[in-house]
Amino acid sequence: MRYDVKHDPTDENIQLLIEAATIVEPEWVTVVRCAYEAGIKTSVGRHMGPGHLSGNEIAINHSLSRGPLQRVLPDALHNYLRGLTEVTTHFCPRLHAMTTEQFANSWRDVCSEAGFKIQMIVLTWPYRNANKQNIKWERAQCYLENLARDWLDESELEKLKADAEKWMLLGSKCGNRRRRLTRQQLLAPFIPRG
Amino acid sequence: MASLRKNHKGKFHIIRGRLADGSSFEYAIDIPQEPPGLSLGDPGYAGAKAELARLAQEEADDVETRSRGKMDEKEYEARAKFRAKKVLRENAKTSPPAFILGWLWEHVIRNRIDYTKTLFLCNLMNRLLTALSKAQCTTIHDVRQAHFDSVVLQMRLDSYSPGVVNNAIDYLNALGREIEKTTGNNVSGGLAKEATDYDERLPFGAREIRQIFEVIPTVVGSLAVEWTIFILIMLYTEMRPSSATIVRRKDIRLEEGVIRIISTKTENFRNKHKWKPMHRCLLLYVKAYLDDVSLEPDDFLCKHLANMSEKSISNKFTEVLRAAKIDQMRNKGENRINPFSPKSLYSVKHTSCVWLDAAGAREDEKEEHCDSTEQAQEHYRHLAYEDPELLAIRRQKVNRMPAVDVTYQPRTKTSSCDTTSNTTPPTRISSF
Repeated sequence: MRYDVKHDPTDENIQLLIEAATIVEPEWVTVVRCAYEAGIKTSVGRHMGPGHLSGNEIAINHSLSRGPLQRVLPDALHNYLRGLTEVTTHFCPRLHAMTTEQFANSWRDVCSEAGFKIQMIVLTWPYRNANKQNIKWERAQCYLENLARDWLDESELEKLKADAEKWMLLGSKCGNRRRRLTRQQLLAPFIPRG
Repeated sequence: MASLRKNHKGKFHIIRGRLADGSSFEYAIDIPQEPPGLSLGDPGYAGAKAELARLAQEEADDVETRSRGKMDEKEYEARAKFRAKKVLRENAKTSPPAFILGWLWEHVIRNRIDYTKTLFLCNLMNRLLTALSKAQCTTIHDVRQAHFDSVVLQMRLDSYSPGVVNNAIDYLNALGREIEKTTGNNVSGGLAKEATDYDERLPFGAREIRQIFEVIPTVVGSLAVEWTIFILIMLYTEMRPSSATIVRRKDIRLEEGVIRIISTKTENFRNKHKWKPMHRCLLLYVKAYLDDVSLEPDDFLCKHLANMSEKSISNKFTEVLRAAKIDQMRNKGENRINPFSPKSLYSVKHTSCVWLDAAGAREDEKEEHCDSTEQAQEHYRHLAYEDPELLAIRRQKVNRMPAVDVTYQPRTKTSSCDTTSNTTPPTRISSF
């Protein structure tokens, strides 16, 4: 699959898309916001519902992982999803029920209303580029948790998670000098932000 | 002859015997009678108890032997230390999944292991835990060498490549050491690595590189400029494909003629900036490109390639190789599940390493630091571009690599190689 960049999405593009979506199909607003603000692919985002939300995290079914990834949502998007009224099983029931062709055609309609063409996948790139390390770490955590869920009971899993928080603050276990973290990385958790 | 005295009420074993001068000794040692964490009826209880008694008896024998001068102090101490390691610790009752997953989580989290390697480790531990579960190991104390051996044997029977199995052995050894610290059982002692096939990856010949540059414009069409830059970067900087695609404008300093070396594979723990002089061919091409196209500092040099998946880049390169009539020698190694090609996109990086070696750019470094470790050598690699004289020396070395003269043509036209006539090849590779 090759993705040719037609546009790098900007805030202005997204605003135009949201305005167009409000006219053509209001459910696209949710999908576009999920893609742009949380890097959730449109093909995944259109099938999401309140069942995927837990706290400020959302479970994403990743095609290459056995279990779902947990992604922390930005506050604005989290509040928006929480505030969606008349939601039952899915945030976007009409888009959820569409076939792939219908979905693509609907996107074309939104784009023509907005006055420009942009590929759906491109919407996720700003998030992907800004959160490269987080996305990788999310997947590593997903693999660890899936394996632990297969083999441990709830109490053991809780203990492991409590230990994990301590390990996050520590540096490399072995003496591999190349893998050692910098002083800055080691101190980062202890320095208050802002 | 030393022996153990029955100690019904006490917690620890009592040893007794006779010293060389005829006097007797009898005292409690720190080896417990009951295995900690295990109770009567638990699987492994009887074995663990017998093992503790054996260790206590061994200590009694050693005390006697030492007093008779048959064992020196050093040897006695070494044996005592070794024995102390084998005595069961308090957490011996931990179940294998709890222990192994605890080790895995700590290893991944503290070492910030990349997700691809984490997946490999999770699959490996899943195999091990399945084997232990089949063998009905209920505590970490029940884990034996045979269980570890069976996992590795199964991987070999499943035709995993030698490199993958050897990698798994490294991790199993690390886990085995942890288990040994806790239980005293050497569980990974039987694992042996196998010889790897060094011909898995082959470099391109100089003629083949020329052919590749010749066919690029016809195969990739409008992306010819990006592909040319991408391959030139790999060819002259030893960067991997995944790193060469994401070189940005700010990674190039035209004034000094240097490029920042990116390593996506090692970015988690080697994130220091490294600048390297560009080969004259790369420099000329990039300079012409940047004169023609204005880019922001954060823009990718190969905008389209940076957003293509590795798989699609690799597939496109296969088309290039096919058009250039380069035999990829796709074959099925005897220990492989899937066939592989020794000449693929990654081979361009491999070619670069071979060329750099042939140009002698690395030999001086090795001689200079003699037998220093790789870490020690790191300390001698400083930013040379700030010092023009040092930079000139480094550039001289890099320029010893064979030259591929590719001429940039503005983007409005299709970028192609330097063609003067139909008879002369469009790209030339000059000798050293």
